[in-house]
Amino acid sequence: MRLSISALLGKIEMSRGTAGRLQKGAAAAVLLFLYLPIAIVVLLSFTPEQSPTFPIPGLSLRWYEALIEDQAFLNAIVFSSKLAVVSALGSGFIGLLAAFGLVRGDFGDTWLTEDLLRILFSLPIIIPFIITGIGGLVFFNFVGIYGDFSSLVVGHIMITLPFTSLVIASGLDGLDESLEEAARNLGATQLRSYVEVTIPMITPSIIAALLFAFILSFNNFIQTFFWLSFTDQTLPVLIYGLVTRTYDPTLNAVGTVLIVLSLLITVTAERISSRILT
Amino acid sequence: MADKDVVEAGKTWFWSLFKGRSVWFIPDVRLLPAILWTVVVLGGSILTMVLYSFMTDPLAGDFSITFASYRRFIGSDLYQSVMIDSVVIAAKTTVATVLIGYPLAYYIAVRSNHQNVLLLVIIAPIWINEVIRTFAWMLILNVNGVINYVLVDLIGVFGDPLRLMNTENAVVIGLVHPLLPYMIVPIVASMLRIDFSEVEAAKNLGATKLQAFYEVTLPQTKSGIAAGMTFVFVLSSGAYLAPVLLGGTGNNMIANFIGLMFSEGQNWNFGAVLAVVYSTLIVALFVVVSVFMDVEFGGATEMEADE
Repeated sequence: MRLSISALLGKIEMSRGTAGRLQKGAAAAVLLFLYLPIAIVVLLSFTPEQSPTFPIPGLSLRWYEALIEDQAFLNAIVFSSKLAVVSALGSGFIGLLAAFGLVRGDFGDTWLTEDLLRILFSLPIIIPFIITGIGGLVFFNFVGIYGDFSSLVVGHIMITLPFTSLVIASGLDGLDESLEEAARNLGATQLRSYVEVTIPMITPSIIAALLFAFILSFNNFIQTFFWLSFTDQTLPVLIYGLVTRTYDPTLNAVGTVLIVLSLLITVTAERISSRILT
Repeated sequence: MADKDVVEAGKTWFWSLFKGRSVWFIPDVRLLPAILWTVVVLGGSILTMVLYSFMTDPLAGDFSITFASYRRFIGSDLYQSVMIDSVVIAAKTTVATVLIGYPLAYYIAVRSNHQNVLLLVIIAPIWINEVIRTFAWMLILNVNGVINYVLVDLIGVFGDPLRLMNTENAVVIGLVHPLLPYMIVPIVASMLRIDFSEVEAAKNLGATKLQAFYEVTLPQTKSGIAAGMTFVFVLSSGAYLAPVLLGGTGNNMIANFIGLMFSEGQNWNFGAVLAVVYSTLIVALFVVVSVFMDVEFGGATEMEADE
């Protein structure tokens, strides 16, 4: 089989130009597939029509006005923002400490290796969300904080911790420790060398980590869906409820706001942390 | 005066946290909060879930041990077939993701001069709200959606609109879209390590472009493909939103049934059984893949399940 495929492929000659065009075409098609749905939501958010018809007959901001006037959306946005800010700060602080431990810790003679810890810290996002979702539900119920704002914060810190700890750790990894030593040799206390040398140098990673944690918490659906009590609503859970019921054009407007917000925040975070394959 | 002391003591304690020293088997005390958080919350969640799967009726306060829920699962054709259907949908998604993702990964790794920009473009959609992304596919696949508009109204290939929504294919499409990046990134990572002078050598020895790709490039990207496939399979098998919103009532996956037991069904112990069985399947898969294939998860853990 292997030989025959190879022999078959050996019969197909292709000029450099054809191969290049094919590769470009395929890449463009996949990019279109990735961004088409996003473009459709943005486009439909500007239609004056009630129904999602194509092409859109004109441009209008009426769904954005409807969004601003809708108290349920505003309440959900405020609730989600509060949750995301508190969770990001908590996760950022714990993640910062963990990053120092990971990078600077003395892993001399313990079974708890750095690799093992990195896997442990990644677990909340490797384990399928439905499992942590219902697991969290029974756990919070068992501990007696189910439905509390605090249970959501506890859960969201768990979900975002992989990002804050590992993003800050990679920032700290590239840091030259001799600068801190120099500061200490010049008479700075440990505290001052941290505040004036180390922390400023990893500030980009810390900001990136906080941004990732914020958007991850703000957008989280599955776990939050199971952890929420009936009285509170985050924005994604409110949107889900509307989507399952009926078509509401306001969804395109709120979707566009979320798309723009998410892309702005994460592209900024990816760039300042230069996380991607560099 | 005393207040000042307290503040000073607090400050000292706060900053002492930042001083690394090993405690017990913990290599550095600063790791402790994160370790505790993960072990207590995540470990506690999973432990409670497993315990509930063996309990008679934990919601009513009856914590006695029973295997009844497991027997119910073993005796139930419905839930076993749902489990199999979920695996089939996940497998289809995984294959589709490889076929769609590989060419783009190849382009990014080998042909493009703007690798980092393109990778950012690929990864960015991951961060967009998943409810909105699935909703977007409803707009595309609906009877009066984008595809039917193009095919029926614009080109006129079909007289009647196609029924695309509420099918298994709709679920697969709705899963391939968010999961593509998890396939592309590890493949790109594996391609970047290839020594392309070998490809040139193969061509100089008379191989055609496709032959050189098949004999030299493809085998060296195996670990990337395997890592990507594992991520996509695990994430898609646990899908919740796409089956509900795009698959309709006939294409529910295991996560939907688990969810149902915890919302309307109010049968927490049976829901826990489903979750335990499903998790066991996934862990078994991980073990099999990592034992039988030489998978490097490194490239992809960089991006982690960015959702």
